[in-house]
Amino acid sequence: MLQRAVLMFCPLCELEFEPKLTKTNICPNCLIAQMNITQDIDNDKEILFCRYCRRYQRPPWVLCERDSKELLAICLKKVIGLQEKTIIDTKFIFTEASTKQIKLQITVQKEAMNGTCIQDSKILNFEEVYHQCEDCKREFTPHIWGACIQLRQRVNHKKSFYYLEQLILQHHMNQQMLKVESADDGMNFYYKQKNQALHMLEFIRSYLPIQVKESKEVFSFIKYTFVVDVPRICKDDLVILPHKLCHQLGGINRIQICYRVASSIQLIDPIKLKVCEISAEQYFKHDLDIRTMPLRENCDEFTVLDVEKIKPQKNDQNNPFQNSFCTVELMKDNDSDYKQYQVKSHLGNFLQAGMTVQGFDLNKYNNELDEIYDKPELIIIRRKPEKNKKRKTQLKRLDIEENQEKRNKKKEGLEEQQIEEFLEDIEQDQHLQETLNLQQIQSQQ
Amino acid sequence: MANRCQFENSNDIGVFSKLTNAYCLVALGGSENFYSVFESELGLSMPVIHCSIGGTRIIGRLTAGNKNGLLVPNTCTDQELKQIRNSLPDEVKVKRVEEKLSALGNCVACNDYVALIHSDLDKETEEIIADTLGVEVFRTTVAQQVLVGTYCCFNNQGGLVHPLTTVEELDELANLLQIPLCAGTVNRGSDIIASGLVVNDVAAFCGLDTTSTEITVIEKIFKLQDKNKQNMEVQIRQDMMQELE
Repeated sequence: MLQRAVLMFCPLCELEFEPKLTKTNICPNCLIAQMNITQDIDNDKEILFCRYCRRYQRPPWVLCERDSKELLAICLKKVIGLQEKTIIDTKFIFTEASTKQIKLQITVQKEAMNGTCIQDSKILNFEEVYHQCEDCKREFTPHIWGACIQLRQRVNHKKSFYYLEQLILQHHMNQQMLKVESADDGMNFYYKQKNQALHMLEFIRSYLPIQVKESKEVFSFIKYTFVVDVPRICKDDLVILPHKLCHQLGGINRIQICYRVASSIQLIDPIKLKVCEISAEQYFKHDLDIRTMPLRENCDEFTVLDVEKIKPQKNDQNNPFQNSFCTVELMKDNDSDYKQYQVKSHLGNFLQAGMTVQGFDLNKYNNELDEIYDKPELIIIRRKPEKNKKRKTQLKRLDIEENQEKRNKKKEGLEEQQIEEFLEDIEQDQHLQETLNLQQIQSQQ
Repeated sequence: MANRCQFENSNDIGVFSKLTNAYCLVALGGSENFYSVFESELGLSMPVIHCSIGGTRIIGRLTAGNKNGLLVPNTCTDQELKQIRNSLPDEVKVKRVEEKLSALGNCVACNDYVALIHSDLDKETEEIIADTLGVEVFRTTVAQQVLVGTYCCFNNQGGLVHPLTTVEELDELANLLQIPLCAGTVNRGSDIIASGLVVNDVAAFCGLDTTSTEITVIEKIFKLQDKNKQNMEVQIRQDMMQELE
């Protein structure tokens, strides 16, 4: 038996249809046409695009390819009129990149009033509008800095600054800097705001002992300048302290070896093998009276003949060289005399017979050390680094501008040599390696 | 012939007017355009009367009637009743009905022979209807709706019902009424038939929004086509055939 149905002529298009199926009074085609669910989806929208760094704004500026998921997400976020509708499908329609148009075909489904779902598709246009992102703005504007840190250390080398540079890169402290400039005796950091500079100062203070002097100039805004002084004492230096400071520190010997520079200067007595610490304030009170002898300029080389360990008299937990006190028998290299010396040293764990060590021969120096009695003949500082070793580490560098007027032609080849020396120093010292976490940098090559 | 008109910019003709084979009731409008449409079509054959029921203009939905009589609700004042009685011809019996469901136009759909009424109407009212209008009365629903007067409209030749009426209901109603029925809409897809359409055996009036498809359906089912026009159509067809040959 044939199923009879109540048919009706659609009032809009004269098509005969069964109203019971669609539950409406107009035929399905007219319903779709009338409902027009895509009408309120906005068609033309703008997307911001930075042409210098080729990133789209989302709001954070992201780098994405032209037909990618990320771009789709950005486009859909911009479209208004998608509430109450479910998105069934989206598709990018091919457009040339040079037209700056992105075409997206979107298929939506919406529930009509009587329970049926209407599906319709629409092509949306997005226009790429050029807009400079904040990072590019910062690069392009003439640098009007609000705060400047002038870091200075009155020594002949720049190893402290290489050290600081690596720390900055590791801790990503270079993000707010406008500019980094190098000067003869140090470097300058430029910032937009004072509090950014202060943040940097606190960072430097935790790794180097410093003295800060603040000054300001008033323009239509205020420019702050911080002059930061770093002590002359570096790692592996021989330090001769004034009487007053020795008394203050508890009657220590005047000759000391600097074995570490962190937030304070850490020294060890070559005779008594006791450690002591000089803070930044103490140093700068006696700055003019302290003499340093850097290892590189004055070093002599010796060969180790024998190492004999000594047990320490007192158990001093603060002393990092507690377990490595020793007596070393040395012979000077390049000496026709073949004279043997016996010296106390704190490097017991690192020395073996047959090694070459670097140190100071104090017999050579007449002027400075005459007043000091009871001085040792030789002082060993460290093992001699191997020269021909292939460098595994390659350092990342900050983008440092040269101050063109003050450039000294002689110093051109010097930088490479100093970096080599810096790398040698790091390889010698376990503590430095840990601080810098150079392993990280190694793998980033 | 089906005409299109509006009452004060509203397409709901059936609310503001009542049309039977003997008379026509029209509400008081701001301008007389509505009235003049009726008068130009029907003025010679039957009286077209202004009236109000209970001070309102929605007379089409409050009253029910055919050529034999007219029923008004209890909201109708004495003065209005008097005025109606005076204006109508003497053959038409006018009666006021005491009924809880006072919108008689929505509850009762009738022609000169049969009436369909709301399922909850009083027994007393049913008897009054049968008596005054001289019809056979049936309690039914149209498309599962109890307001039969709203969702269907018929004259002595045919009838139009709500589009969601089932086949079984359609058969049953056609059987009761003994006239052909079909499903349709007025006023561009509105399913409230009786508010957009008034009809008698010779004329029909519908809202301005009614599409030509709907007009065609109305003219066909209520058998309103002009005899002259029909002859003209045949003549045109013959001429065309001759040309093609």
